[in-house]
Amino acid sequence: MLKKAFAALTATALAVGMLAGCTDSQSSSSSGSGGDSKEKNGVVTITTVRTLKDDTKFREGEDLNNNPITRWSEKELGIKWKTLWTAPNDEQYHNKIRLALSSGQKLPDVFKVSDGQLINDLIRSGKVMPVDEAIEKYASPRLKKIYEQFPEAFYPATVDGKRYGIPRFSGGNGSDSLLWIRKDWLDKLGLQPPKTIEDLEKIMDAFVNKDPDGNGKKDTIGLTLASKNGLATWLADGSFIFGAYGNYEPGSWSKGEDGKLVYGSVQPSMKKALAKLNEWYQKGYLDKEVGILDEQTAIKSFVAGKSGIISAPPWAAGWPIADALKNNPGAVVEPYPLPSGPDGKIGRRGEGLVTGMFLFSKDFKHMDKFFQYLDEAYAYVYNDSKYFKYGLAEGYDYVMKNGKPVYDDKEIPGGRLDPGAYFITEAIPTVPYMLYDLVEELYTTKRQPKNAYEYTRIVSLGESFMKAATIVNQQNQYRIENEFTGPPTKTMQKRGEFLTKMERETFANIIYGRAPLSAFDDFVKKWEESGGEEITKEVNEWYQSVKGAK
Amino acid sequence: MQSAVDVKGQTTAVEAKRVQKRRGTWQLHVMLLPALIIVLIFQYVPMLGLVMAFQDYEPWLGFLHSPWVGLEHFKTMFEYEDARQVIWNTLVISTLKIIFNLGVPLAFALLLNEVYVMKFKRTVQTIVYLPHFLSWVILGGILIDMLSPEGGIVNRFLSVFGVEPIFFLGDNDWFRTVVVVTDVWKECGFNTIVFLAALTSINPSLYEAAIVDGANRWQQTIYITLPSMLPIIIVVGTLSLGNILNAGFDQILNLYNPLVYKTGDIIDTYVYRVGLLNGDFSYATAVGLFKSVISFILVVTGYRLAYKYANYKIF
Repeated sequence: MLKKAFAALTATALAVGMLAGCTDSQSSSSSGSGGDSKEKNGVVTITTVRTLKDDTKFREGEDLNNNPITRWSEKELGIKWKTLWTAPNDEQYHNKIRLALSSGQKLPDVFKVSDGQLINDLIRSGKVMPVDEAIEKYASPRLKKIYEQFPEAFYPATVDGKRYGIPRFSGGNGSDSLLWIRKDWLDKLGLQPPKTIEDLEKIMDAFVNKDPDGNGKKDTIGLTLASKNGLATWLADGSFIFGAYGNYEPGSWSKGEDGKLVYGSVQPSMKKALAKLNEWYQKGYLDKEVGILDEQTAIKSFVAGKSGIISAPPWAAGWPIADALKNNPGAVVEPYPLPSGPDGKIGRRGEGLVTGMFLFSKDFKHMDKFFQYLDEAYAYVYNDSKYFKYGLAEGYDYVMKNGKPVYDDKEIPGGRLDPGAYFITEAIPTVPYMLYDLVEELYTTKRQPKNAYEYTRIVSLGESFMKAATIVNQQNQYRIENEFTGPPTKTMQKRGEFLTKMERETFANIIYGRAPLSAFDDFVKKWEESGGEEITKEVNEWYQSVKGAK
Repeated sequence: MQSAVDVKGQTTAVEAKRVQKRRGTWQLHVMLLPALIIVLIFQYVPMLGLVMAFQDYEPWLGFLHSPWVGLEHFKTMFEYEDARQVIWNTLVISTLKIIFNLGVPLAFALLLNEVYVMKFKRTVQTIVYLPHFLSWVILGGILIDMLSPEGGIVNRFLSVFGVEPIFFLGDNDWFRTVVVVTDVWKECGFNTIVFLAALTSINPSLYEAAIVDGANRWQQTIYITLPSMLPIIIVVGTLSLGNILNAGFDQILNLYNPLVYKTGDIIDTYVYRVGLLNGDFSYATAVGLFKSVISFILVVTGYRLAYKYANYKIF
């Protein structure tokens, strides 16, 4: 009896052990060795985690823990980066962090989070460290200057007057849109590029009714727009239409007349823009399916040569504009500034300042090292690095030929790779507006690129991109940015879904003429009543709380 | 039971054999243990997370410390018209889907059964089954193209008959039809195969007797084929009852848009937007739990019905 029971127990233990074995080995490879940063021969080990998209390429045998950037960092700065795990996209990445948070696992020393809610949850959990003191003590003058210039970049990670994160900046205006127009169509119909919305209407009318593609059929449209995910968006963007009538964009919070944040979608200027869109839809200027098109499906009409105008960022020169040129022999697409509305107003959706915040485990002890690393990475962007004179790594983004750097793809054995992606910033770090300032300088002065950064990020992208970026940069004063960068407020969580749904539905119905324009007023009223008023209050409370912070 | 045998000391030969048999197999049962533990850990333990539905869940507080709110989230669900709307949409769409996913494959199987050229029959069977393997992400793109009011193949075909172009995916009058038709098109192959299998198991002597009695093919179908198939029809039908609140998340997510929220938004897409996009975990869990409970009741009912009318036992 006893013997049998013992045997059964052993078998059970064995089976459980087998299972436990699996989890054990896993945790020892992830959290077990992570956490504490060790110092050995003056080299500090810092643990991190990140998103690794499949377009990040490595040389044979290299990975995130062994590449020119980590080798440089270990040798020159004495920092050994240890990437504990990676996720193929932000969604999975955030889920893993969320899981680590709710299961009480140790957090990595340094990690980037771009989800506002998650940033807030992490800060509230008390597991991440405030950084005010560290910035004061360790940030280089260069970094301090950038941080002082963009105080609002810290808002996503500011709680109770304390800052908990270091911003990972976007290009600032990098994904702001301008107009791309079929120049060959303009020329064929004898039209001038648009200065105002009125000009634009004339052009669209001609594009629809005067057979610009010469196939004898009335099968062309004026303007490619995406509306499924909101009308102010990153590609096939309609934000310039709203910007032409007021300083508000749908779906984003900006300063009202009294300096408080107000929700763009419920401002009176929306109504004028929606009326215009409805008129354009009735006249056939827009895609019949505009209501169901998201960004990726909307561009089809432009790529197929059926549409004459699209509002898209400068990088669209590579995609999808290049596809449109390939598909339509003889097509010429030129970038133009945004047109102005009846009162001379111009406005566009401004990209956010940050694409994520670096957070630090409360046990992390080497903020000095982190800032040193960040500063050296920024030095390259400012073209005054002692390590990266011609590029980041020879044989990756440049090679030396006869004592001169060569950046051409074909000259580099194995093809050009971007070691910038190996930085913890996941790209060569940016300062808002700096890239397009540099583009404007290169484009207007026609000077030669000084290093691999200027070549790969600017010159190699072509004349068309440079012209577009210059135009965008010259219209910087018209940016309308979403100034609410905090986590969703209480009422937003409760009613946000309903309100967004109602907004999208109402806007779509007005554009399609299925609801009268007065449906907008009903929407505004219902929005206020169903939580909008409360949300506005909460958003402003948040705004006051972060603005007060340093 | 074994100890009872020991005490009584009356081990018959049969019982001894049974004991021996059990002695020989207990190790095998232990080997099942890892699988059971995996099921326990990954299927049952996560269900503890359902307590979120009764809390105001905050991730940094966890399940243990988040404040309790009782049935608050369930109340919210029935208070707002948008939640009622999605429940209604879900019911309508899935009921239509259940009916057509039963009727169409049945009719199709009967027709296919009349085909005597085996090669043709097999080919058709395979072709009908194929769409089942395509994901809705791909089909969504294809359907948007096919149903486009500007040059989509369907509208071009209709224009031959002088029908004005229809905006299938952007019209509340059409959206549910599109959803049901495309779903039946994609999934009917599976049930067709089930029904065809059932058809082959009908005793041929029944048909022979009917022919002797002078029944024609139509009469054979009505009086022999359909009654013989009734059990399997009931089984398939009742089992799909459990899915009545699953109107097809993948499909709707890839086809719907603001223009058809009124008729096309379903519970799953709603939960997705509330929970994942808006971060209201508790409320989304409550809606999901509500759905699961109803589905559970329906599955049990369906199972009972299947047992009662078709004598079909799953467990």
